[in-house]
Amino acid sequence: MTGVREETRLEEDRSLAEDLSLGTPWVLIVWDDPVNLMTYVTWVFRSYFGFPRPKAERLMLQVHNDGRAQVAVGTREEMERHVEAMHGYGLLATLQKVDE
Amino acid sequence: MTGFARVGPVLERHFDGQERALLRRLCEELAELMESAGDPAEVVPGDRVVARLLPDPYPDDAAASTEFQGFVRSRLAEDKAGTVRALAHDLSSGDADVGVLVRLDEQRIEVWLRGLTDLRLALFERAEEEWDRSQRRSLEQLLDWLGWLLSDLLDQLDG
Repeated sequence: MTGVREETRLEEDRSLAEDLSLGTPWVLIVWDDPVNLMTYVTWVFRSYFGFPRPKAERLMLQVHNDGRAQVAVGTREEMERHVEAMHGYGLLATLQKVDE
Repeated sequence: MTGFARVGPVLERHFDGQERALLRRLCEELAELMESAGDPAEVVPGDRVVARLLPDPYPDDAAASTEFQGFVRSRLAEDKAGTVRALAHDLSSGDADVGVLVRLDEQRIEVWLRGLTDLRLALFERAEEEWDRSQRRSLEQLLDWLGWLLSDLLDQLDG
């Protein structure tokens, strides 16, 4: 039983090291806009990202109150796919390197 | 004003002749704009609706923006044209007198959510640049009406 747990942890460490070695992670930022309904933004977060309702609402409120929210992190390619999806839904989104 | 009603797995709403004509016209106008937006040579520079529906994901990096925007932009424009054309299609049966009964299954609801959203974004931009006060008021009323429909659909979805 302990053997199995150790293997899993080693695998996780390895894939994290891979991610970091591929370069600086990128983030997806969703911006507030004067048109979109809060219920719609929440629905997009639940529908597209699969976030549970409390998380989707928290992020939506962050967009609404702070003007923006960081919604995802990963490789540049992943974030570009997410940006395209967000624009498809009519949300404003940009991507940037974590350090920026 | 009545909203959508759930009838089994489907959401239904009757659009009267006037609503039907109005919404179809809006859909067709936006579809045409998106169809020409896919071709950079056809876009009016500074068109606010195009800028809003096909935003720049790299506002601080012109080179990255140009590279990304290339095919993504035309793909997005095509998708958006397709979405509002789908709405126009759903409104196409019936006529000016009887209106049309729109029936949406789960997949179609999502198409309407996106389509109504894009129509609202377009109306907002047009209202912003409209000098004539009564024209602007009409656009804002349309924006409210579509917002009401969108909100109704979203409320019905909540499970």
